[in-house]
Amino acid sequence: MTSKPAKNPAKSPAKNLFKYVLAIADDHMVLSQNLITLCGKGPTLEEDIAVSNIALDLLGQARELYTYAAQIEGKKNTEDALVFFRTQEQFYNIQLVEQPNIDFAHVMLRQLFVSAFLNPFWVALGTCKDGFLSGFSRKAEKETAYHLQHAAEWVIRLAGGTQESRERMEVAVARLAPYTAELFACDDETHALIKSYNLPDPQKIAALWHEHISTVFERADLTLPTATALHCDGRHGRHTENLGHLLSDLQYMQKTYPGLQW
Amino acid sequence: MMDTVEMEKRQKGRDSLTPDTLAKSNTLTPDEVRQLVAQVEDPEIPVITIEDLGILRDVTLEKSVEKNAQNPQNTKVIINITPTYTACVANDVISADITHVLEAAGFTDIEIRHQFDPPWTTDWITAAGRQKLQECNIALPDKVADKKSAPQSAHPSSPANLAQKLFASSQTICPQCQSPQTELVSQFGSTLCKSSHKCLSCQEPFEAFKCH
Repeated sequence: MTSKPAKNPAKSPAKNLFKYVLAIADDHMVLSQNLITLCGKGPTLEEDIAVSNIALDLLGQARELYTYAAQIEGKKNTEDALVFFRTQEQFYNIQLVEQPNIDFAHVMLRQLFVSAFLNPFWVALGTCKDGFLSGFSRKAEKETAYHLQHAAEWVIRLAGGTQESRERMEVAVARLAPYTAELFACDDETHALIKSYNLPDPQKIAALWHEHISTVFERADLTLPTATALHCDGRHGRHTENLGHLLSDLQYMQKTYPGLQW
Repeated sequence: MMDTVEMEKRQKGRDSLTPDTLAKSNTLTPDEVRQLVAQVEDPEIPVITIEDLGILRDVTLEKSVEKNAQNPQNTKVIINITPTYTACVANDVISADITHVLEAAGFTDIEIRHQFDPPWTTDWITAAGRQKLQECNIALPDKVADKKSAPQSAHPSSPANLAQKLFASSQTICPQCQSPQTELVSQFGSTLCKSSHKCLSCQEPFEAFKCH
């Protein structure tokens, strides 16, 4: 048997890129679904609109990612099948994005933590070897820049606002910071993928993330705790309680009436 | 997922297939098809076309793999669109409208592709488009390429640039009274592509197209 040359990864994405893309899509979808539950309940009209817009941006990005994932998977799945029929254990989002909307401070801080990751992540994807991801990254990068700025400004306002807003922001920092380490967690299989497709290096993204957070926290006079992170394993389908609630709302209709069309 | 009105429109498109329209579709050049499609309007701001907005990219005709009596020459038309924003809900309506126009011209094998690279910016809005937006009281940012107002670090998304952007004042001109004394109310507005502003001179609210 003659040996075959290695396939050009840019031309024929390997099946294991499927799980990588699916995980990022899940991050976007779960955060979007989480934010959407706030629609109509914002503290002001402008903020209701802003959060809904961010949720919609994330949903659009999730759709593009799911559609691409389904294409790579090659099992004739659609974006809808991937979103509506997987169980909780088959979702690979990080645990940070599924945390409950305890108050506005939590919502904005979570957005800051996530967007300060996603924006440099999309920038870095611009030079990866996958045609779809590198092309789409240039659009997603611009959209996330608005989310990052919006969240940063609110964290600063709330941290420097009233005594109550300050206290709530400090509680949010203590509660959410331990979930941020998972943003940069990476197993051996993913490391190998990163090498062969020139995907974003988690340590480099972590450095940029820390710079963004420092910029904001300095102005907000907040401190990021250095205590040990929680052991989170969302990337392997282990989730916290709130994801169950989010998915039951999201999937109820399709699971009850499979194939339902509006 | 189409509503009833849309489905009726599509059915009418199919019913209007006659030997004449069929013959027409087989002789149309890509440029002619492009001209047809370019007139599709933005559903949110109907005075502006997708050509004015700069979201219509290449139009190509190729051999179709579909074999049916309604498509004897086996022509496939591919339309490339660059959405203004990934999740823009007008995308679906625009795609449906493009399909309707093409079906009325006799095409049966139609594909609409989203092309994200290079990404859309307001720089792609034509002069005619800018004029129409002005008339609708929608402000436009300065041309992205011209932005020299603040010194930029190596990359627009760098942490140093974030620091500069935080709470930066708005330079947007009021489309109603032309005053530069305006303030940004929110980076987000009634649609994904617009931000909300207020004029401190005439006191009226207005929206602006976000540059990208």
